[in-house]
Amino acid sequence: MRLPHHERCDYSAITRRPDYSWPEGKRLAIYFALNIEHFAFGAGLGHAVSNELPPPDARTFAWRDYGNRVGVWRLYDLLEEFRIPACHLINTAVFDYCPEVIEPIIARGDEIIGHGRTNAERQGQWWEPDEARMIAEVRDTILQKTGRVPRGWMGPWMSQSRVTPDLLKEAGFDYEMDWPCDDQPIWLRTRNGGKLMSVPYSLEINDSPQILVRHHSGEEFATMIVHQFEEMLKQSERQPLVLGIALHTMIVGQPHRMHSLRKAIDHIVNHPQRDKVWITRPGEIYDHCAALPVGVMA
Amino acid sequence: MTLPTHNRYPFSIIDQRKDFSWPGGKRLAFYLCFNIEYFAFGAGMGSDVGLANPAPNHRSYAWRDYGNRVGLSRMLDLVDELGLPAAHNVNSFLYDTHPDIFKRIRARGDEIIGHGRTNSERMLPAWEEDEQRLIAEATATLTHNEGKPPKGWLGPWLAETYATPDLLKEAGYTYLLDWACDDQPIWMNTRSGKILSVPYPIEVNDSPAVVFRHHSAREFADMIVDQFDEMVEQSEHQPLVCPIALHTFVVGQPFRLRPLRQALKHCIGHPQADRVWFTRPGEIADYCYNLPVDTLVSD
Repeated sequence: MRLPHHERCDYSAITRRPDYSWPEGKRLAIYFALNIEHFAFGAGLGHAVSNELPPPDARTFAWRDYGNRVGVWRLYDLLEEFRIPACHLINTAVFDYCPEVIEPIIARGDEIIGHGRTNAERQGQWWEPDEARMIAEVRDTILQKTGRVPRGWMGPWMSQSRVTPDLLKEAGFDYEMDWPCDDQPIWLRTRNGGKLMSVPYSLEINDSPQILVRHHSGEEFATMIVHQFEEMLKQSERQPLVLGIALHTMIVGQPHRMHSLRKAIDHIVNHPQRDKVWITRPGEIYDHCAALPVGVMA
Repeated sequence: MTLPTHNRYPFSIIDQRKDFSWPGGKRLAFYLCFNIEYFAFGAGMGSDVGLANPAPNHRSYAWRDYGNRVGLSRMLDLVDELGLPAAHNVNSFLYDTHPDIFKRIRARGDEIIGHGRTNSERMLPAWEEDEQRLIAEATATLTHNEGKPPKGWLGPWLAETYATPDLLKEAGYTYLLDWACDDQPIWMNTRSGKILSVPYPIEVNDSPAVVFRHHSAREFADMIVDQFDEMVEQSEHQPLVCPIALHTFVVGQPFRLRPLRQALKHCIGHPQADRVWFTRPGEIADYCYNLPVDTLVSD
C-alpha cells in the first residue's frame, strides 16, 4: 500500500549511507540558531509563556518584546563569552522595529537566515503567489539591509505549504531548515528538476516546543542539550552528524534559563573530545555538503 | 460611559432626516446583486450546502462550481426575461480562470463591483499593507478587464479590518456595501475623506438565509416579497433602498430559481411599481454624490 507522500526525498537509513567527515576530519557539526522575532500588538500569532489573554494581551506581547529589548543582548554576550559562532533566524519586521539588534550580528560575521516577515503569521495555507511574494520580500529586505543575500530559510513556526521548497529554490535559496527528519543534510527535490538542501534543524532541541508547549524547565532543557550532545558525539563515530540547537530570545534570554544554558554550552565547548566537534553555522555546513562528490549525500 | 466605537458615522434615526426622492420622484430604489465567486479546490474557505467533508471536499467545490457553470446563466436569463438591471460582486481571480463569464454581463451593461480576489479567503492576515495590496490587486484586474475602475466594493464574507474603509477610499472607490446598518445611503468617515455606504442586505441574502439559516427557496422568495411590499409603504415617508443579494450556486439551482422568478415578477408587477427605481448600486451612489450637501446622514 502506498500512502500519500511529499515526494521531496526518498527513504534512506542513516546507517546505510556513504561515510564522509566534516572539515579537518571532525565528526559532529554543531550550530546554535537564535530565533529573533517580532510580533503584532493585539493581533496575529505569537509565543505564550502562560495562558493567553483576549487581545490585546499586553503581558504576552511584553514578554515577547523582552526578547528583543533584553534577552537577545544577553545571548550575544553569552556567545561572545564562549567565542562561538551562531546563525540568526530573523523576521524582517525586526529590521524596521529594532535595527540595533542586527548590528552585532554583522560585526560578529554571523549568518542571517530568512525567517519570514513576522511570527505573527505563518505561510502554510497561503495562495502560492502570495507566498512567493513574501519570500521574495524577505530575501530582498535582508539583501538591502545587510548587503548579503540570505542562503538559508526557516519559515515562521516551521510552516510550509506544499510548494515552499519550490518557491525557495526559485527565489535563489540554497537550503532550508523546516524538515526535522534526519541528522544529516539531505537533498529535497524541487519542481523542474531542481534540488534544495535540507539542513537539520531540531524540533526537539528547541526551547520553544520544550519549554512553552511541553513545559520543561530551563534545567531540563539544558540537560537535553548535554544528553543530545553526548549521545550524538558517540553516534558520530559512525556517521558525520549535525546537531542544531534552536533558541528563542524571549525564552532562554530569561536569566533563570540562561543560567542552565550557560552550563550546557560550557559542557560542549570544554569537552575532552572537542577536537571531534565542528562548531559552525548552517551556511558552512551547506558549503561543505554541496562540495561532496555526487551520491555521497542522501 | 462610552464604549469603543468605529467613529465611521453618527447615530441617526430613519424618520428624523431630511427628505429627498430618487430620480423621477421615485421613493424606493430596488437593486439585485449577484455574487459571482471563485473557490480554491481543497483549500481555504467556502460555502457548504450540507456537511463539509474533510479536504479536498470535492462535493462542496462542485456545488459551488455549478454556480459559475450553470446557475449564473440561468440567473442572467431570468433578469433578461424580466428586463431587470443587476450588479455583480466579482472575485477578481475569475478574470484569469473564467473570463467568458463576463461577456453576457458586459452586453447587458451591468455593473461590476469589487469583491476581493476569492471567497476562499476573507482578507489576508490583517496587516494593513497586505490588505492595501489585496485591494489594489483586485481593483487593477477589474480595471484592466473592464476598461474602467469599479466604483463599489463588497469584501468577501462582508469582512473588514479596522482600516478597510480608509483603504477603499484611498484606492478610489466611491462606495462600499459592507455595512448593513441602514435603509438609506450614508456618508462614512475615512482618514482620507468621505466614502458612501450603500445598503446591502445581510438578511434578504440567499447565503445567510438559505445556506446558513436553512430557509427554503419558497421562504426566501416570501422574504423578498414581504420586504418589497413593506418597504414600498415605508418609502412614502423616506426614500429607501431595497437590495437583494443572490449567489449563483444558491438561487441558480432550478428549484430555487422558480420561486425567485415569482417573487421578482411580483415586485415588477406591483400596483405601485411606478414609485420604484429598479437600478444598480453604482447609479444609487452616483445620484447620492449629486444630492445637495447635508441631504444624507453625515458627521
